[in-house]
Amino acid sequence: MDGLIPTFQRRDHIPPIENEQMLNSHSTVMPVPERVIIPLQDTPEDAYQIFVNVGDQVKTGQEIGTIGKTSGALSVHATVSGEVVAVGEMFHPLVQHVASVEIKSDGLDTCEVHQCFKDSKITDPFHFLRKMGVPLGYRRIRDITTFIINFTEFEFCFNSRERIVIEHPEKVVEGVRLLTSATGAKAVFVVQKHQKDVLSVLKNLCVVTPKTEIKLVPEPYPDTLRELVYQKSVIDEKGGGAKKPIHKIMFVNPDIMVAIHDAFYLGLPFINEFLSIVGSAVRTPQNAWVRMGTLLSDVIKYAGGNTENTRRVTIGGALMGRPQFSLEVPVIRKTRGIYAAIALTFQEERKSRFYRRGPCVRCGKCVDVCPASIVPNDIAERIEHRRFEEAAELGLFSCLECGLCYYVCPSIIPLVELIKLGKLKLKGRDSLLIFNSYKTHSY
Amino acid sequence: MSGKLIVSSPPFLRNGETAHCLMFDALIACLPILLFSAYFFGLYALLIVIVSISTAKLTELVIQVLFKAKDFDYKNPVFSIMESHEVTVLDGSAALTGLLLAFTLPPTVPLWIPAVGSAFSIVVGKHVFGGLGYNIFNPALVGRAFLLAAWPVYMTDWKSPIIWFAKESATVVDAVTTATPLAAMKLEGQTTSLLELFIGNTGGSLGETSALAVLFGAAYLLYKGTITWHIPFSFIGIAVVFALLTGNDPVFHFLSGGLLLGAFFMATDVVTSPVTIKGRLIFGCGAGLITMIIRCYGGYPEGVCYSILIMNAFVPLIDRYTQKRVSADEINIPMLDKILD
Repeated sequence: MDGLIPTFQRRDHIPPIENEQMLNSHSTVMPVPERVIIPLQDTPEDAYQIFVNVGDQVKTGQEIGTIGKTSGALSVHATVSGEVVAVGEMFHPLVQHVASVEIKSDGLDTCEVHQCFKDSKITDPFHFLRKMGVPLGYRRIRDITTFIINFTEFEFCFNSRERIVIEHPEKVVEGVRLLTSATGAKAVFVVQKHQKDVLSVLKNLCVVTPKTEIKLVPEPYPDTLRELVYQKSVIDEKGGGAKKPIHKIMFVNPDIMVAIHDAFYLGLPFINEFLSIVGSAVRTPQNAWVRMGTLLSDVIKYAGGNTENTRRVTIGGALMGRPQFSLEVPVIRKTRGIYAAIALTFQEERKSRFYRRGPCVRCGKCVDVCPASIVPNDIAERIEHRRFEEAAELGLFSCLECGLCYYVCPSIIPLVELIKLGKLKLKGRDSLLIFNSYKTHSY
Repeated sequence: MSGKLIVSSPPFLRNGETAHCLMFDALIACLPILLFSAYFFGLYALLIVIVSISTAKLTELVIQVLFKAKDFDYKNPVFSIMESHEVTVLDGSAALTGLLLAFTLPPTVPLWIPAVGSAFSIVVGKHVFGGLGYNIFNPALVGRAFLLAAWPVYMTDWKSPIIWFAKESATVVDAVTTATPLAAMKLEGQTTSLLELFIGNTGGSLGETSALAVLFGAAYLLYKGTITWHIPFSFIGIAVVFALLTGNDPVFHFLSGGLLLGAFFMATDVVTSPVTIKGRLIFGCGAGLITMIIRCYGGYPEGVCYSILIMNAFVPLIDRYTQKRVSADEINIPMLDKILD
């Protein structure tokens, strides 16, 4: 009668999102790491420029290269002061090897002083932000009419977005004000009802700032929505007659608001990343300011983890992260958190039959939870039989890859893996949302 | 240097529910019905249930050992049953089929009737189509339909419930033949008191008489999230509305017969119901409508069994036409519509 005992528990349909202890404790600042790896590319094909050589001494915040070569290139800054020890191909969380700069810290953390926007001679605010290395979609930002700022947390135990609003409300407010005044666009905040602290901050903001509104939503919005909206806008532009002005929407994260504020008023380049560090391999789950390029092993050690028994690490959360093959991988732009777990894996033959994949019993739980309103079990079944075109007709490309269908599936069918396989087979790697969402120049 | 990392595709989280849980949830929800039927029809009712469940399990075991299981060790059968990946007797689905079949039987049937019926359910209702997850028709109802067609005399021999607390005449009257409330209504125009229908103190099949017990079980299933409200509520809602429109007593039709048992336990069988939300509503409405048409205008007094079987046949069609078809590279983002109004 295996399966009788797990019956006596009511199951949730979404993963636990609230981590009370983590949400109520103040974020920390990680000390300067010994060495950092700063990638200059997203994929090995991208263009880049490099301004330093091996043996150079660099200061924190010094420009060491650019991502992209044209006038629209995004500056990359040194995140620690010290000596450049290596330049070349190194590990990267998205692809195997990209061109990177490795800097060994001297422990002094001497900063290079940048001028804030008022004192600098740059008149274009977005050119200034590019110089400061703030990742925004600069190619489209002039046409944007609506910025959507998502404050809901989708990932397991992540709450960096809520935390950043609670700790730096004035910076977020200023960032939103700068963004809307520079483009003339309006800002829409997506908040859930239970996020009371965030709501009170944003309500004050809406009173002060014109062209802002709050939308209360019942369920959290996944981060991959941003990529899906971009893909849809590309398709709409090709097809011509788009009914909704979807190409004029841009998703921006709250931590980018803080970065915009810091760059504009304090002249600080974008070198810190606000991360939620969670998972069973981490003793004290926390939100922390981490220098970009810090190795994952250092981050995990800082949070009280033992890198010896950490077996599963993802950049991003446990539902939508990017799995890592090594701990010698740097934290990159747009990383929202790190999930590190002590995990075991078994061959399918050695699993207990209770946890083996079974036939689909068509219970419809995946349909109930799917935020994209598609039918994951039918799509996965067609992909398994290699009928990819039929799967596309059933809405394969509307999938957000959020992972909720696998989370609830009682038959343990790898629905998300099959759906990703279908996307990969039909349109290649660029249609995978999770891969794209970590690219610096996704749009 | 750290140890080796496991690289596999996310998500890495599961809520821990398995297909077994769905079956055992339904079995737990059946417990109040079982208790009520044992109270009203005596221990013979329990005997029917036991025979039905054990035959269902035995049939499934024999079929899986004969046709499917390659890892079954004949020298060590008990261990094989416990450990084999292809013998799934213990997963609760066969037991559920047997139990639900027993609930649809009259309390006086000879014991070979549930045995034959549940064997037929498992073989023709389930394993002919390929086993769990592939069957088109609800196996328990297939078994009942077969029994009703093959031995109609046994299957319509109703007994009045045991009167435990008789007032003056202390003699407990045993096995008085009676009619189900629906048959009494249809054939003789008699009505039954609604309170007795609610508690279950009437003639009828083992599981269907007590609306109270069925509602207990249904509340458990809805609380656990094993079933959603769409199928049972649309089923019952349409039946009640139909009764109102045609001038029948809606409360009587709601409480009597197998409507509640069928709506909450039979129609919501995960394998044979649609997956889409719209499809579930269509399925429930269709089943409710056919039930009431059979009850009011058909030859049988009760139509829940056939209505669910008929709608089962339409499930692939319903699923096909309630899914949105898009052109190959079209992207729909319903989440965005909510925030962009």
